[in-house]
Amino acid sequence: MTERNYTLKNWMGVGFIVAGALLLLFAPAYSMVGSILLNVGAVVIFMIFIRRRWRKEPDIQDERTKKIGAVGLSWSWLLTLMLMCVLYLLTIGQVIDPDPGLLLAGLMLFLGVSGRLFQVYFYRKGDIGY
Amino acid sequence: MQTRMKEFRARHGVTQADLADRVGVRRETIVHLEKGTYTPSLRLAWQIARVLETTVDELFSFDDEEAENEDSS
Repeated sequence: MTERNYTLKNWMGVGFIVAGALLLLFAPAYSMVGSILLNVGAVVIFMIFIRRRWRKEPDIQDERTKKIGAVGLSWSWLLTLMLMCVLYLLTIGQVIDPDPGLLLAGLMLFLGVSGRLFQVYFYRKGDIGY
Repeated sequence: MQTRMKEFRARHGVTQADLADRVGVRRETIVHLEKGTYTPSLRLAWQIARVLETTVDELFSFDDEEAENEDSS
C-alpha cells in the first residue's frame, strides 16, 4: 500500500469516527449505529498504524494482489446480496423485525469484513483458482 | 503448473527479492510462482523469462490433465 493509500484510509477512519460521534450527539435514537461507526473508525486507524509501523517491504500492488482484491470484493458482494435476500424473506415472513439503521450498519460491516476475509483467504492460497 | 524458476534463479544468482523488484511484483508473488500456486499472466511470465535469460516454455509447464481442468472451468 502506498503512502497515499495509507493517508486516504486514515481519513476514512476519521470520517467513520466523526459520523459516529455526530450520530451519538444529535441522533440518540441511533446510538447503536453511532457506536458501531466509532468502533469501525478506531479499528481502521489502528490497523493502518500497525501496518505502517511493521511493514517489512514495500507494499506494492501487482497483478496478483489486484486480481485477488477484485475477486475478493466480488465474492463479498455476492455473499452480502444473499444475506440481504435471506433477511428480506425473514422480514416479509415476519420472523424478524430489524431496526433499519442497525441493519444497514450491520450490512456495511459485513460487506467490509467478508471482503477482507475473502482476500486474506486468496492471499494465503496464492491465487483465485478453484 | 510446474516451474523451473528456482533453478534458473539460482543459476543466475538472483534472489527472490531482486527478481520481484526487476519485474515489478511483490516478493510473495515470486514465492507463490515458485510453489506453483499462482499462474502468472503471459506478460509477467515473459518478463521473468527475459530477466532469467530463458524462454517461457523453459520456465513453465502444465500437466495435460491440469490444463484440461482449467479449460473446462
